Amino acid sequence: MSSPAIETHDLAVSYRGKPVLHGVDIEIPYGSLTGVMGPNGAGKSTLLKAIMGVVRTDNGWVKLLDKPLKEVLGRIGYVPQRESVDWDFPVTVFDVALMGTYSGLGWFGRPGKRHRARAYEALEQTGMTDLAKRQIGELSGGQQQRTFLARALAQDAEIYLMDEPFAGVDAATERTIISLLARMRDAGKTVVVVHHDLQTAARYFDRLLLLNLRVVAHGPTQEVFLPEILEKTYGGKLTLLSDVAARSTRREGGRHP
Amino acid sequence: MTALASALLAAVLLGVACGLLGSFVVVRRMALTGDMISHAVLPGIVAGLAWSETRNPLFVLAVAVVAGVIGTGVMGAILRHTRLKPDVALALVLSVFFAIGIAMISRLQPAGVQAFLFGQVAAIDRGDLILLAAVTALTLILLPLTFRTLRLVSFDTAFARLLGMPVRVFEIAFFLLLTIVIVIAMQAVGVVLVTAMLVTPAAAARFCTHSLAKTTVLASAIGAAGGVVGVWISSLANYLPTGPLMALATTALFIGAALLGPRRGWLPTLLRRRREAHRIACEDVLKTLWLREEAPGLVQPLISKESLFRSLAARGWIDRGPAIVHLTETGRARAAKLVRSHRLWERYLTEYADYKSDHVHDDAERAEHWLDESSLASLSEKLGNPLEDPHGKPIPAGNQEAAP
Repeated sequence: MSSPAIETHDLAVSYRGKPVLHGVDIEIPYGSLTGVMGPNGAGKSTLLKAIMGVVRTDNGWVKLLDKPLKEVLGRIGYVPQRESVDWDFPVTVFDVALMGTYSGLGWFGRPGKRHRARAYEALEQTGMTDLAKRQIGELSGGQQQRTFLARALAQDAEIYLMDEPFAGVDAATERTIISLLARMRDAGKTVVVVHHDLQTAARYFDRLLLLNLRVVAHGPTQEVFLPEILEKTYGGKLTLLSDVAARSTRREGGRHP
Repeated sequence: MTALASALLAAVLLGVACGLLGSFVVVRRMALTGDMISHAVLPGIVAGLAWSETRNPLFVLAVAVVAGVIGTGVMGAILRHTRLKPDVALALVLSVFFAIGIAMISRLQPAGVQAFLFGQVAAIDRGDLILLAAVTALTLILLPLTFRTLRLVSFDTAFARLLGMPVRVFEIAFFLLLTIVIVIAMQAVGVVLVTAMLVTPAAAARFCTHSLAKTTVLASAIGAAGGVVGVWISSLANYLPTGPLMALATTALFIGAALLGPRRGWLPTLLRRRREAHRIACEDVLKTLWLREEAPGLVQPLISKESLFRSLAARGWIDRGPAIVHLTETGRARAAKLVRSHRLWERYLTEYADYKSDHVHDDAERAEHWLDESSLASLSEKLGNPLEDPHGKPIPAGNQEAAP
């Protein structure tokens, strides 16, 4: 397969006149496990959202599995950021896992035995069967992440986008998650993970994408995980760039940022 | 049909429709959106009543829905083009549309508008009732059929989109159905109390269950019951208005659910806590007895409530002599597990969390009651199966059978 699983070209996103991401060209190959890293506000989540078509892009395009997003819906999986989930919502762990099997069910479709078996199997893989009937707000942070990971497994997608699956989890869960991710990659899935911890990054991922409003570096971990590149990513924030952009929107009669 | 019978029927139908939709309104955090819609449709209702000489309910409904759509569109435009937050946009649309409606009333003075402002179950005639029955039936058919999809769209919109679900179509359909039910409910309870009909039954149901399906069923039952009780009381004392009584009756049910609801109600929560407190107190007695066996004389004397001894004896964990209390075999095993938990936890805190050894006791006092066999086994393994706690006291061996 010569074409990449995920490809973006000159992708740009801004929020109220402030650039959040610009000029993002990436090519992520099939069957890779990529960590997306960068300081707070570097646009990591935004990049995932732009790839998923959840935020409006100012410029550029995204191709998934060599096609536009619209043609590959259902083949893309997603694990949301913890803070964006309504943990009070009346659903159980099993309900969430079962949601992974909804693609292709259509408007009025009901999941059958086969779907339930798939959801159950996914919960087994993440070690969540004992808690299947719990409401999701009654779980620990690690169990909550395992629940959403089970949903992703049940979905059996080709590309997985995960927003900080390691946030707020215990060490045991972190190990479970990373071994699951590695197994998914070995099964040919393309996995992209927003990650925070520099300590573990080199060990966990075969590729790294270092972001800070633009792509600082992108490639195999051993080529990218270098002091000078990390310094460039985390050191100087591009304050001048966003300042000037903000000033220009203000002058040109735009709204105050 | 007598007036009372038709009022009761209307109350049941409304209760069911509002309970079903209201469940989604509550979990989607749209309670105030419902309030905005009920105010935004007013100009439409006034225009509909004024334009239709026969007061055709379908026509009035159609014009009202158009007004609701415009109101929601204005709100969306405010959010897109200004930096105002949703609550401000909501309040702006709500008050402006209501003001327009009131101004139109004093200009056009259409007959029958009072019912929509203050609610008047008695004013619901045969035509209204048929429309209400049709809308309730539609809700009863559509919601169960699309339940899973609607739940997913409500819970995780981004994921629903990625699965290729027509999220936009669902949201528009839900909004239209909600607006229709609101317009019809206004005739019974008035512009302000519609929110109570939508939100109160569903909020009550949330105290009772953690399943959205059960929430919808329970909310419709509560809505219908509240409506029936309200109509019935107002028929006994005919100077009392029906709408407010329906809202008050529903609120009474809400208070009942908040007190007694099995999931989050006050009393069940209190009982659960007391059960836990009792368990912990019992376990503390067991542990003290065990520690006395380990080091006689060193442990403070055991002073405890008679009720604790009684329930420990009933479980066969202690033997009560005339003056002295002994652990039984099973009681001793249980106590050993507590001590094991306590000392392993102290060890864990000092080794992994950098606690000082004189800072760990209180924390371990809590943790010992919450560690189960499997976490104990993995904790012990992680620590290299230590034999002593940080203070040099021996850690009792684990239960071999329970080890994985």
